[in-house]
Amino acid sequence: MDIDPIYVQALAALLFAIGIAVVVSRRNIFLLLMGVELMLNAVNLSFIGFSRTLPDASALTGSIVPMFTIAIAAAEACVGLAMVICITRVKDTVDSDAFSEMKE
Amino acid sequence: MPVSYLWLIPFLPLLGAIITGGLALGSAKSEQGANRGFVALVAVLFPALAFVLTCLGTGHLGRGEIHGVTAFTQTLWQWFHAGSFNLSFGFLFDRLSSMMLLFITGIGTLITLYSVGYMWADRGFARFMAYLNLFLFSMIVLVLGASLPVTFLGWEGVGLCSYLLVGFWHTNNDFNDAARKAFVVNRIGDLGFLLGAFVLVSVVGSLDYQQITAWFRDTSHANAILAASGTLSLAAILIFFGCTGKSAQIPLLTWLPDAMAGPTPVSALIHAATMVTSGVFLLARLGDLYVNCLPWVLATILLIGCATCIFGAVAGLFQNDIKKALAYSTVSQLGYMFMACGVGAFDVGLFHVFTHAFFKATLFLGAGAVIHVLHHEQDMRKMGGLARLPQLKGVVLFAMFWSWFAICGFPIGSGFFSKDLILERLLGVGGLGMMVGCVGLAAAGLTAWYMSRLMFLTFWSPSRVDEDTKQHLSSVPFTMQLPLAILGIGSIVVGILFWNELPKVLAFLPAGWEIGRFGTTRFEEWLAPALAVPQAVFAKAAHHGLNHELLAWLVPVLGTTVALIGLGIAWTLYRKGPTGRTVNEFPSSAPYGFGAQWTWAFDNVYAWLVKLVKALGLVLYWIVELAVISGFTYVFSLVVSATGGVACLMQRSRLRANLAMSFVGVAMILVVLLWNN
Repeated sequence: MDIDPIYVQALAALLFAIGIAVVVSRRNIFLLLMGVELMLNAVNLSFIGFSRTLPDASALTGSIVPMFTIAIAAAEACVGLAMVICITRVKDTVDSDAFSEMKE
Repeated sequence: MPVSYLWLIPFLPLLGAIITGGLALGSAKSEQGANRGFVALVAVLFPALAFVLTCLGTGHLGRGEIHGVTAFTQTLWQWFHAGSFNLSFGFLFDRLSSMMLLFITGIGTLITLYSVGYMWADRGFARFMAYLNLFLFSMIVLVLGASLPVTFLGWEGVGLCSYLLVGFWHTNNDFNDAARKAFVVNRIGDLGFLLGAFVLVSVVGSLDYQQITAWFRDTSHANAILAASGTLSLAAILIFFGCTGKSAQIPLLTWLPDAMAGPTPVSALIHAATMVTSGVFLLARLGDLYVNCLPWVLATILLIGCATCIFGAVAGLFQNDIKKALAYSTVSQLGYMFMACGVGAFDVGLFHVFTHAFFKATLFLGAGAVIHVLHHEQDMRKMGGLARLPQLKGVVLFAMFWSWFAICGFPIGSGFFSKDLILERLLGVGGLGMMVGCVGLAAAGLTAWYMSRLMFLTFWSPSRVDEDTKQHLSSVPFTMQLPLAILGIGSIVVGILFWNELPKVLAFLPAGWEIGRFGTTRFEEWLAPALAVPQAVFAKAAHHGLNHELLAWLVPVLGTTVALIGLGIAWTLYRKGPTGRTVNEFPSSAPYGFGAQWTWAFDNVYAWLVKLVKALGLVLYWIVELAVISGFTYVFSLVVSATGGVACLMQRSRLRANLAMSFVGVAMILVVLLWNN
């Protein structure tokens, strides 16, 4: 079954937008990290989609880059969760707005 | 011709000032002050040496003139140069500076000697002597300077010393005010001097007197002089404005009567004999400039001299303070000198400077002796009959009598020769000069009137000295009597010295006694090497007025007549004592009415001018300072801080907002990039 590549890209863009919306609108740091993961995965989806449609020489790149992204995303989640533990020790909250302290 | 000793003439009093000043400073904490005998020796010796040196230089110059040398110069160092403009610090010793120096150092030495007696009991004796020597140094630099800037140094120096000496008794705040007034008014005049020098250098290209004179005498510059006559006139009138400040002419005259707050020797030396005449000296020094500018400049000088002369004479008539009466007399006599300069007869003006230095210094020193004997009483209403006091009836009365005789213009007195020569010149040029000459003749009558009033009130009318003072009169020490005696004789002799017929009289020749032979051309001949061009220009102009032969006997006769009339009026009015309000009715010695200082409207005009300047300052403060400068900076800072505030809003660390903005930014970049592709 062949899907028109535009749908794949549209789905990736939609997922990316949802990721942004989550990051911007939610205050919970865990949801923030989830939003970031969602955006990364949207980008992965976009790469995969392009690996199917573009000529062979470039197609391989489209399949390889998501591998790196997944690895980095795992590291990022690891560091991110460690930071969440750190900051909850400081303020006992996971509300990101509680850390907006560098005002004027 | 360059000579090597000129620098010593100013340096010797400077050395005296440094030594006595050092002693004054060194003994600042002691009860008695420095050793008075030593200070007096130093303070009198160094000006005396300067006088000797001046005499030697004058003799040297006289011998040099036989070989065509008209001036000695000495260049000490290169002062500054900018582009093609060069100025060296040098001295110029010609007939003009020699004449001035002779009486500055001579009378200066005598007055320093007088001050030894007058100031002996004062704690600030050494300080006073240091100031006097410093003044003599500045005055010598003023006269001896070879260029306008060097003269300006001396000009400022005498102003400073005048300030220091007027406010010498600085515990009295009125005296300090008088000193400040003298200084500030002189500074206003100095502005004119400086601006005039700048304008002059823009045309002539040099500030050196000899170069200026040479520029004007170079016939190839005739067209340039004609083309720049407006600018030259501006320079001339600005410099004259400087002279009105230093020489107490209208409009800057009111500081001189107030300057009488200083010790009396100071009034005699600075405010009668030397400093106040430096304006006349400067006009004569730049005589070539004045005869080459537009006629209105000299006419202005003439009219201002005339107005000052008559004003000083009238104001002198109303003074009860003996020193103020003499101060207004000085103002009036300076008016005479400027009248002479106003018709281009600088030599005659200088002759009056010369004779005036003797008789007015004597009058002030005599008044100082009176004040000394009466324990600082200056109100003439509390004097009278002093001629019978044993302390005063000898040398003091002798000196006062002969100087009074000279200033009134009675025949053979020195004032007779110089004042009549001025009137002769004024009447000789005709036109404006003739009218001014008639006013000058009237002022001569007034001079005799107020001076005889002074003499009657102090010496000859019935005594009004209170008994308490009579019991404790001071005596006049020898150091005060000797200068008085010398200057008293000088008041008579210095006029006759230049009388044309003197050599014949001395040789017992009969010629020269017929009427109309009171000529004194010898002084003019004496100054001729320095003032040749102004004299030649004047000689050309002098044909429009009355006949010279007529004037030669008319003026002495008229002058003596008005002097006798003035004496007669004074005798009628004051031989029995003062008129007007008595001490009990009006204790202040200031004239009644017209404001305490009795400077007619001048102090009020000054007050209005100050108000005007202050109002102008206020307007400028509102418009320029507040509205323009402050307004601009305020608006500018407002814009900056508002922009900053907006930027600040975006920079706040609200995490989600920042993220959102960075997303928007990235999106916009993408849109732009895609759009361009």
